[in-house]
Amino acid sequence: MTSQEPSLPPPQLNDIDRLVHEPSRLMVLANLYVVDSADFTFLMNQTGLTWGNLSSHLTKLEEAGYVRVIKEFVDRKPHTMLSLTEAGRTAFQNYRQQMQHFIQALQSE
Amino acid sequence: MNASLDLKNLERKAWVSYHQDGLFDLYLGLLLFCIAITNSLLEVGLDSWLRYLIFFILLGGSWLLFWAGKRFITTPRLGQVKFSAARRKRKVQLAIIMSFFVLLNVLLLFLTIGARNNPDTWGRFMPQAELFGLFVGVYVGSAVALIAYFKDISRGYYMALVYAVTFAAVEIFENPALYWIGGALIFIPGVVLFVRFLQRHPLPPSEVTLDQPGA
Repeated sequence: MTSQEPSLPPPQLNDIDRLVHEPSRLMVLANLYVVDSADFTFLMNQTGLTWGNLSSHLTKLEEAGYVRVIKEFVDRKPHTMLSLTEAGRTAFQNYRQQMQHFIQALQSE
Repeated sequence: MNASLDLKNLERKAWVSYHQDGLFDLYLGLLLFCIAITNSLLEVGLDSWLRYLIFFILLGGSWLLFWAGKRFITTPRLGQVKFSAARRKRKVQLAIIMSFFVLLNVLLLFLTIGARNNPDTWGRFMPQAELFGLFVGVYVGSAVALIAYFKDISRGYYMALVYAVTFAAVEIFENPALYWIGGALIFIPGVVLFVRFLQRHPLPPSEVTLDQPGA
């Protein structure tokens, strides 16, 4: 990026993706962001969420198209892996940028 | 709920959690015990080929224990994860470097055997016990340190130091019993880590899966 390019307008608080903003879902997204894919047990261990909580958050993220559910067979038993979709990755990156903007704006005042 | 959002730390935490089960420590400790057992068979007067056969069987058994531990103890407790491409790349790099080390190891082994069997010819190029011990220690220690670096396991550097000192001391003091001490120095912390891992990570209930209906 060169300095001649017009800078984007600063994000508004209303633009924040509320689906990502919820702390538990944010943790789930962050954990899936740093790996290729993971299963339910791994996410429970890493986030400290209960089975019921994690299940409901994952359902919301899957409905929003942020999380992909991959059904596979391990030792002839069904096994489910979860990974972020492109939309999920973009949503998480956008959220981080927006939050960085807000924090900078708060610090500059 | 864990509230940290430092992505690098988050990734490392996930990676490290997979290596806090003590199985790698147990495996490296067992390797030194395998060498110690094979050396003690020499004192019994067992045929050298039979000794090598037993050595490779013990090595295979140690690897099998490590693999089975990861497969049937660690993974069911921590869940399955596929790490990033960067981690997989490091794994491939380690495999290439270790292949090089194994080839070099075979070459050095033949040179050493040749030098010891022909003291008047090759043997003249053989360094003194102290220097040879130092070389073996640095060589073995650096191989383990490389594994620690590429696998990103801080404890691995301690294991590298134990390996280096043990191999050097065995050559310098000509006392193969020191392999037992080196092995114990790695194996015992491994047992502690393993027990702590089992206490911290009980098997999750069978319903912890998205495979059941309604999940």
